[in-house]
Amino acid sequence: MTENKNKRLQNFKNNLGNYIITFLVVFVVFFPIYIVVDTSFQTEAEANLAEFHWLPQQFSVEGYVSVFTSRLAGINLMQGLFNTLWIYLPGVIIGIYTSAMAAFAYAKMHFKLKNVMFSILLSTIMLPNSMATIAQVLLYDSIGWMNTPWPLMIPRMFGSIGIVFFMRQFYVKLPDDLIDAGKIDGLGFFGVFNRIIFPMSGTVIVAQFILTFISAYNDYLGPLLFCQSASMYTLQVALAMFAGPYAQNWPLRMAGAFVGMAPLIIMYVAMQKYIRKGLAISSSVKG
Amino acid sequence: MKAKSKTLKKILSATLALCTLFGATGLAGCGSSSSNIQFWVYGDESELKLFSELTDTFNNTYGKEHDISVEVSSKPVGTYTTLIQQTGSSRSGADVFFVAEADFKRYVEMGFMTPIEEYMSKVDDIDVSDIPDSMLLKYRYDEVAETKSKSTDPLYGLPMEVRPTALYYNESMFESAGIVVISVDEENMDKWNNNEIPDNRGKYKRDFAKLKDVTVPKKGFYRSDDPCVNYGSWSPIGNGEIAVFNNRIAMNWDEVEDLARNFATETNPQASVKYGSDYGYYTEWWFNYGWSVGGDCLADLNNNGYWNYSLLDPEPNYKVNADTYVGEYTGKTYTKGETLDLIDKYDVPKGEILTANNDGTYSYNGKVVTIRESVKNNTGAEQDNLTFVELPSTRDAFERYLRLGVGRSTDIDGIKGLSVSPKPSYFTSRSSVNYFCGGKIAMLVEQSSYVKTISDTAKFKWDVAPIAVYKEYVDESDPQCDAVKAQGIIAGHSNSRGLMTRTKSLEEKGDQIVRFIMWMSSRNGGQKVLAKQGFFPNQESLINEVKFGDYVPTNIRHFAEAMKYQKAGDWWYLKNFTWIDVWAVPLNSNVRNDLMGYKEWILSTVSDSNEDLYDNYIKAENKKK
Amino acid sequence: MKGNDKLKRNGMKMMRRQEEIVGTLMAMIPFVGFLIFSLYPMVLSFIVSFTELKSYDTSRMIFVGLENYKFVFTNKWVRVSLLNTLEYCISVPINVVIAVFLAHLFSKNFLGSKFGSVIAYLPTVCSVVAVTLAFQWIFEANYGVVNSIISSLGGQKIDFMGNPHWFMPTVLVLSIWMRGTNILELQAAMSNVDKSLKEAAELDGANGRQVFFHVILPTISPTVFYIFITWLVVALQEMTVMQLVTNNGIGPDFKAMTITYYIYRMGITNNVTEGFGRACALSWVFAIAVMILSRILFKISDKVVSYD
Repeated sequence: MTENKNKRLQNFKNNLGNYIITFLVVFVVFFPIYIVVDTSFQTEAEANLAEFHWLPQQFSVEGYVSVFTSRLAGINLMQGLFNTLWIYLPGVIIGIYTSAMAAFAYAKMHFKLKNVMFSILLSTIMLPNSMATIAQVLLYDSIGWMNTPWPLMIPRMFGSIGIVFFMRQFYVKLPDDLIDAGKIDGLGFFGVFNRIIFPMSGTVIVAQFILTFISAYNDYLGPLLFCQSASMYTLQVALAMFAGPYAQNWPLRMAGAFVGMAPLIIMYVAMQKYIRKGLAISSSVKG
Repeated sequence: MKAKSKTLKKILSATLALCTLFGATGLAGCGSSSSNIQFWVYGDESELKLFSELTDTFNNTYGKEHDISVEVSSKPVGTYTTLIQQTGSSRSGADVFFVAEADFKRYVEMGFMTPIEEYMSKVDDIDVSDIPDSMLLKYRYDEVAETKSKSTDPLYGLPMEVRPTALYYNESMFESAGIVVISVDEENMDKWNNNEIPDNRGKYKRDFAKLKDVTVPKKGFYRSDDPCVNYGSWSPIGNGEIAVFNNRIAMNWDEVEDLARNFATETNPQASVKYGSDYGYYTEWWFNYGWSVGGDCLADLNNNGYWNYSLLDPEPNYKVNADTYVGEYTGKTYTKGETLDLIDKYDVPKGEILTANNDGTYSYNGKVVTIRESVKNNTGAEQDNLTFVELPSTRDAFERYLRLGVGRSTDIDGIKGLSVSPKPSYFTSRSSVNYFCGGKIAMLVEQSSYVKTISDTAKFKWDVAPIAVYKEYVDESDPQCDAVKAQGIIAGHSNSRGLMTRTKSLEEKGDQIVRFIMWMSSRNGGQKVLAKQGFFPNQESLINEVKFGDYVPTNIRHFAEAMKYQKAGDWWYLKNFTWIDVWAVPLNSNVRNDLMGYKEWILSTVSDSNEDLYDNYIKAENKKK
Repeated sequence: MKGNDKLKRNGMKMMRRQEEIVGTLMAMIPFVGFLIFSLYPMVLSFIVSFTELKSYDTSRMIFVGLENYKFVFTNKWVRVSLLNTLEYCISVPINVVIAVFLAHLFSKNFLGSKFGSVIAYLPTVCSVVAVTLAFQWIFEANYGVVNSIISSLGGQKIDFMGNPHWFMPTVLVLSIWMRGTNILELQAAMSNVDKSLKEAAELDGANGRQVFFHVILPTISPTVFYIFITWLVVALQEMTVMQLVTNNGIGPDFKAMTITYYIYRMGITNNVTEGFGRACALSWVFAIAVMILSRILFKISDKVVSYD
């Protein structure tokens, strides 16, 4: 018994440094988030004073009530979330599919333009972005896409270079036998991809889906510029309304920010296993 | 693995189907808006409420009669200007939008705006003739001339509402320091001192036991024993001393500093213990100092459209005290109260050229220039009735402003700082208004838009008073003396928002748009609604109808008075800000934070600002050709 | 036999041709997307870089030749913002070291190690705006969290965001936090480290540190390097954080002015004086510089990093 206890104590002692560091990491990560939560539960008057309190002097859920009830932007937050989902999900989902398809072609198929196309795609990652907005406005305005969700939906459906690059890493490592087996079953390359390859990339796809969705979810300038009617405002646009032009309503802003990031945090924590696996499968990066 | 991926596939396709379905309904919703005018706004909660009320009223009255319907759409304030610029030239965008003073000339220069006067002249059932010219001037601009606006320049929009500035003060804090707060207009002081009339809050002099044996002079802040004059010795208000603050009379620079020092821990270590305050006074703007002596940060150096950075002009300003005066160089007729332009003040023969030096001084013929003899010899006190009254130089005024915040060991032109103001760099998270609400600053110069926040937050008694002004008494050593030797110009800035439209919208539905804009800024249209909600209208005649909600600072009418003389700040002068950036950024981020010497700042920024202005001048000249 | 062979060859040919067409089509979609939605902005920005353009209305372009490029190479603010950007990039190696350290720590097996690694990645999902607001309050000059603690301990308050000497370190802390020490990828790489190698080293009497430096680090070096480059490229284009932290986007002594922000400023805030022409010229010059830099880094990496 005592020996066992001693062993445990020894184990604890050995790991003490690790525990301390883990505690520090958790503290450092949570502290700013705690500040957000702390402020969100204060009264407006308290948060307006220039004083820091570890706990709200007067606990108040006023901020959260206004977040869910106020219609500052002409819509409420739930409508915003709903808009975010229907505007972005089709683009993100179809985009991952088309990216995976292209990635498969670049990884496993032979065609003349392969290298040229791939290196052009790669080089675009580095290109300047400063004219992007003005060019987009010009482009979408001329084809009548302003004040529609198309600019946020359609371009994404063509896939993204980042995902192509990432998925290619994964497909390169797949054994060629898989493809040959499919061909013997009478499938063409497209059939092989559709029936065999895509279904088995589940984890990688989930990982990519979550990472892409996070960036889409946080997109702000796009919907602001292109979805001009209040009925199409996304969550991020609605949240930005909580920033006041003069004095800030801190509890409202912080409550909004917290409500805005909560879905992502929940999604991340729930799915982190898949992200981890997905990353591990396709990770070892070579040249 | 396989089973899992099948469910994945199913989930994905189901989501897609759902999205398409909802997408279709969502889209159907967005296409159905029947309004023909898109009105893009931003604002705090009360403002947004006001804007929907305004558009509703319009749609139900004038709009209905003329078949115009307006849809209001609020945008996040942080990206409003970017959004307007980016959609400025596109087909789909705002038809009517707000333009801040600082953005107006830039927008015109970007080429998506058109003057609206032509359309306005066709509308005969809305009267906007009672909007004062000073207000309209903010939205006039001559794209070709590119100088400060004149009243003949094309008009691009109409003012929506005005936000004047005032001095907010913490009355509870004053009282705990033993200061008596009264509210008596200058012209009523004698009667009030004789106990004939009550002050604006209904209090007679006899109601204040402390004031039994004193005649309170016509001053913003009066202390009986030990007033501090021109950086002389200072001590906190003594126990037996009588101190009176009058929120109807503007303090002078000495008075505001004297008062502020009581509440700043740096000057009065007792402050944080006794009053809980750390700072005495904060003003973000140099205008109420520089403008108060008749100076400015831009001067048309040789009367030819070349603007020069003149904030550091070291020679006194001359205020015209005669009914009129004709400038010796420019031939311009000055009226009483105006100050002389540099070229009329300095001794430069007609046809010759004044040049700017890098230290802020001016030269003519290679020598630093002096004041014209004819000006100097005709200068006296207010009472002397000579042609001019001498006011401090713009540079003196500016330095006085700087010393408020810089540390007590920081030297600004030979005199150390006061450290009664917080440093501007402090306000990255909590603003100066938060500091005021938390009782950390005793006095704060800010816009009228904060009345609501302060009402909701501050747990103490507060009110507003006029902004400090330059004022020199005949006998500065006598606390009772209130006869004025040199009276500065009452000055300050106000911010306003204009309603404007884009060329693209104007071409399509100009008449309807301009009718809406005119209705909004007319006395019988939008302005009446606006005044009832506690906002400041364009028309002076409506000012008495302004109704604040829950908390009414008793001196609220000060805002109305201030509106008459307050004007747009330096951001409005020219279409670009780079000439301001080169001196203001190092000033606000370094000099005012004790990180850069004042001399060093002058030498490194004056020439840069002038170069920038000169570049603009040359470009404008080329454009004219 | 011969005919059969021919048939087979024909079949192969058909297959080849099919692969050629299907492959091109499958790979085509993102490429077409790029041609439609990204090439146009690029070409436009290249054209604009040779013109004077002060609004979003491209019909107002005026051709000025190499004027804008001359400006880029002679302007004082370009130098200032370049220096700031480089200073900001110090955060990248620090961040990489922290990430490798934490990834290594959390891949050990002890109570809470998994929890730790989940949490360490959390900042990546957090909203930048909310976190920046929180950090602003934490580092507020007078009454913020850190200064309340300092002054209650009797210390001298620090103006973190207003003092140019403190500004960059404060921003570095914020951005290191926000990049969330991307340890998931590193851990994934570490899990691929050959266990037998590790055990062999341990048998030879190597201690933990030696195992880490001689076995683990060389194996994960490509991932470390990949993360370093991607972060560096992102850091070189930084502007959001600085813009949020300061109210005017410039910061004390122009410290917050990075290249990307300066480009933005020329295009948006000061478009009337500076204009898109200069903004585009600077962004092209900068992009090409970044591209060259990453090429050089990859070249160096070939020598330093082991791809076994």
